[in-house]
Amino acid sequence: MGWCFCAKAQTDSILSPRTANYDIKVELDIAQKKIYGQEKIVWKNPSQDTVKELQFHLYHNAFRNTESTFYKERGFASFLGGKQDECHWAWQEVQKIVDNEGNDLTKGIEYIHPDDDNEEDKTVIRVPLLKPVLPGGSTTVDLEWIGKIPKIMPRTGYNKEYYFMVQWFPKLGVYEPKGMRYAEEGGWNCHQYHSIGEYYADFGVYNVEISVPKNYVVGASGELQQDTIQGNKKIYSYQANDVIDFAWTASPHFVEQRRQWNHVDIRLLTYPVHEHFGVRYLDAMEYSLEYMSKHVGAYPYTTLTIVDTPFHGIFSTGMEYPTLITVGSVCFLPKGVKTTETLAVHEFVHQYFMQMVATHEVEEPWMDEGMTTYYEGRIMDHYYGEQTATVDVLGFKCGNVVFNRWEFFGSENKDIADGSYKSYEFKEGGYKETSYNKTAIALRTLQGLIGENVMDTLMSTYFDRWKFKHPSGRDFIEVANEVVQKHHGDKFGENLDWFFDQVLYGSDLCDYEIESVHSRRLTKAAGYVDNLEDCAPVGRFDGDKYESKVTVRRNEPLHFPVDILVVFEDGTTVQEQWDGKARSKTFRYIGQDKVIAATVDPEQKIHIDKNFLNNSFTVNRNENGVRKYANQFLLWLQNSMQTLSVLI
Amino acid sequence: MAVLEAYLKGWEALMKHLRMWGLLYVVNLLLAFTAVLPFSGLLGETVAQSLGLERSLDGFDFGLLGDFMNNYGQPFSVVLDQAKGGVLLFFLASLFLMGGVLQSLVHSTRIFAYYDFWKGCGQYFWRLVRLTLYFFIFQSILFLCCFFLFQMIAGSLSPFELESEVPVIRAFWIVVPIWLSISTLLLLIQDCAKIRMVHKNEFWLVFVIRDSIRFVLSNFIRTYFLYLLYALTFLLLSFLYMKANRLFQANSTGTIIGMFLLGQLFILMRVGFKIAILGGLNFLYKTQKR
Ligand SMILES: [Zn+2]
Repeated sequence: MGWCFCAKAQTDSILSPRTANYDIKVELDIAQKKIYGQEKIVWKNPSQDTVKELQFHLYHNAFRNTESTFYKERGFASFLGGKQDECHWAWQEVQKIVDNEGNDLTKGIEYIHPDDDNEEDKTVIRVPLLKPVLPGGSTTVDLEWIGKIPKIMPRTGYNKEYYFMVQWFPKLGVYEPKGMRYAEEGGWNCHQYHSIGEYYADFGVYNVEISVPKNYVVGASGELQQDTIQGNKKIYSYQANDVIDFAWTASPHFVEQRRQWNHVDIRLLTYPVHEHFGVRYLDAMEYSLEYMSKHVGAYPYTTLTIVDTPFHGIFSTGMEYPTLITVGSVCFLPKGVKTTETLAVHEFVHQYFMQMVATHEVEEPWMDEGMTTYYEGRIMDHYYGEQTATVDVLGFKCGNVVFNRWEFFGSENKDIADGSYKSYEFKEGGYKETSYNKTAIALRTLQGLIGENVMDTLMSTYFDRWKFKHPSGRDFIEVANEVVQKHHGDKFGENLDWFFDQVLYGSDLCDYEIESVHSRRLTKAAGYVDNLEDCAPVGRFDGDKYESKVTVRRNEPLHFPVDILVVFEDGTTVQEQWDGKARSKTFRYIGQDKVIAATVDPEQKIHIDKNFLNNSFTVNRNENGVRKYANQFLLWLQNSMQTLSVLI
Repeated sequence: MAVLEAYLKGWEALMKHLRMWGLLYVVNLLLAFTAVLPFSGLLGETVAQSLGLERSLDGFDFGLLGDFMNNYGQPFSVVLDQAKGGVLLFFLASLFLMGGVLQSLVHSTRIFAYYDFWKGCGQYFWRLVRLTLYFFIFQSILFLCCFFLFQMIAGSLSPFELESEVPVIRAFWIVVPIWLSISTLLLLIQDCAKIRMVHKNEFWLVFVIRDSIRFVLSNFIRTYFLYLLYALTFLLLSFLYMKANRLFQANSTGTIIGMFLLGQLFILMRVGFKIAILGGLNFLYKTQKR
């Protein structure tokens, strides 16, 4: 121990506070399925507290046995169930930890379980320090550890000759000073590994030396400094600056494709049978880099590695790590099914939301998954077509945003929980629907209300202010309030709390409907009108004037300001505004022309409205539409009947 | 030449039994209507006055389809259940009517005799039920065998055990043609068995099946080729139907009526095909060695 790389710095400027810095030497033993690590950590105390202990994640201990919190919550740890004959379980053990003065801290290591009372969970340790870290001070510790690599576990492990190493080293939790996010006093934020939920870590510099068999190709976070062959080993030295994590993969079968986009070296690793997907992945990456740089902020790193996981490595597909993402494709899907691109775009956007803007993925999953899904929709629909970005096969077409909306409103869990849940609190389901789909729909609704340009300003301001920091949901809302106030004044009220309280911190639904459009010819008053002598038994027509009434209804609790477009017989239109708060509102018109149609939210700004079909009403029934679909249904049914009768 | 002659004789038989053809088509149409009427009622009540429906006339719109399924999926599932009932009823009706079709094709010398037809329906119903059941079992066994073969060639169906998805794709392309060929052969034997059963008025289906297998094997080229010829004609007409269907934009009453008529013509053709195939096989059966 006590070594350090002298490689050139990745970038000259320091982008982040570099609170937790790691120098790691790791050796992959493919025979024993183990990794041996030496790790030097320099940790800076970001608070005004005197810190007396360090807390570490030992994530791979989630796969240690059936007693871990991860296993108990999920019910299974491996995708293989009980089928495999070799032991697929894993563990991670810190053999030794010493501080910079040579004090051995190993004996003080204690497993803790801050989230539950599961004493058997070994995914978090605390290490008391003999020499506390003073406010603003720093400490250095050296660790020696061994990890048994899991076989085919969620997100990580090995299968055949493919290794995907994430959460593979003892990793510090985040010491949150008082006032940061929701911290009422300073303390470690270090959750156990749960069945649902991802990670949270501090920024730092990673110097990692990976030793693998010499025929293995490695992909990793950051920039390759050098690779050297020593006997039958190959040693790859990587440096990643201003990142919150470090992931790597190794396999003898990877082939490489590269593309340069401005300052970014995009590197794609695939197995040979998937080489032909290269253009699709690399195009998707270029589009994403271009779009996010233009609409949110610059991508400051010089590398981006995309790992197309092999078929037997799908346990690691669709994940995001600093400057390294995993994607997946299968050869039998037609080109019009764009899951290949969708996954790549989604995972890339995470470089912004959770990597650079390092939100807490466990405590506020909507902030990374929701914002990422929102930009996934924007990017996919922009480059691959609003009607075709998800599927375009044999006349069946579907865009990304529209698919996301369908997925959410079609799910059974759409109102099971609100967006403020921690990931592991979604015990009855709804994690994906709420954190991913609903947040994206809510942000799309916000975009509809405040306009795309102001939305772009809001998101770029948020990114700019909070990159390389750890914002909370409140911090995002604060930026939203500030930007919207600046551009719209009091148009949406004093602030946008009413909006976020409904869509993020509530679980209600939204549905506006044009309930009816009625017109009648205007009549004069009937009965004794002018005096008590003359009775007009019925009202006479009052010229050629009509009275039309348009009634809009709010069927669900959520309310937003809405526009109503009213169309008259002669083709003229009137646009009304309604704060949308009451249960219903009737608009009345008197004139020569009857109202023939009305639409609430004609521009479909309120994306969170669960039913766009009832947003409009026309007095002329669309018989052709009914006939068209009835005819299609008839033919489908007749053909089904005829097909089944082949068996006779 | 015998194949071509039998092929034409099949169509000739169909032309001789226009009323029977019409009857089968009407049964199909009427049973389909039992579910289509509630479906159009549902559309009328839910979306007929939405401008969204109007927009959807210009082309496929997933957003509207998704909204319909998400918001009116429950009543639609009731309609779908009714449709399933309609399909099942049609299956039973087809089983019943098949006896009449066979009787008319095999025995009737007249153009089309109602008496012969209904007599055949009653006479062969239970035998046709059993025959259909036996061949359904054969088809199921074939499917299972092909599935195991698929698994064997692919190596495994678990992605974790496979190097890549290529073996799965390769296995698919090997097994599906084998499955289709043998399945077609089984359908051919089943059709021959029906004809033989009516010719001989045989009660024991075991003998009927055994003799049909013998007949098909001893006239393999002719019978199989005849079947393929009909299949090719069917594929060609289906292709033409799809091409013609694309000519209509379905955004006006005229084009919707056009699409309806074209669709019905296609269904009529499908109904007719069944009669023509049996007619052609009947001709082969009568003229070839048994
Ligand atoms: Zn994600």
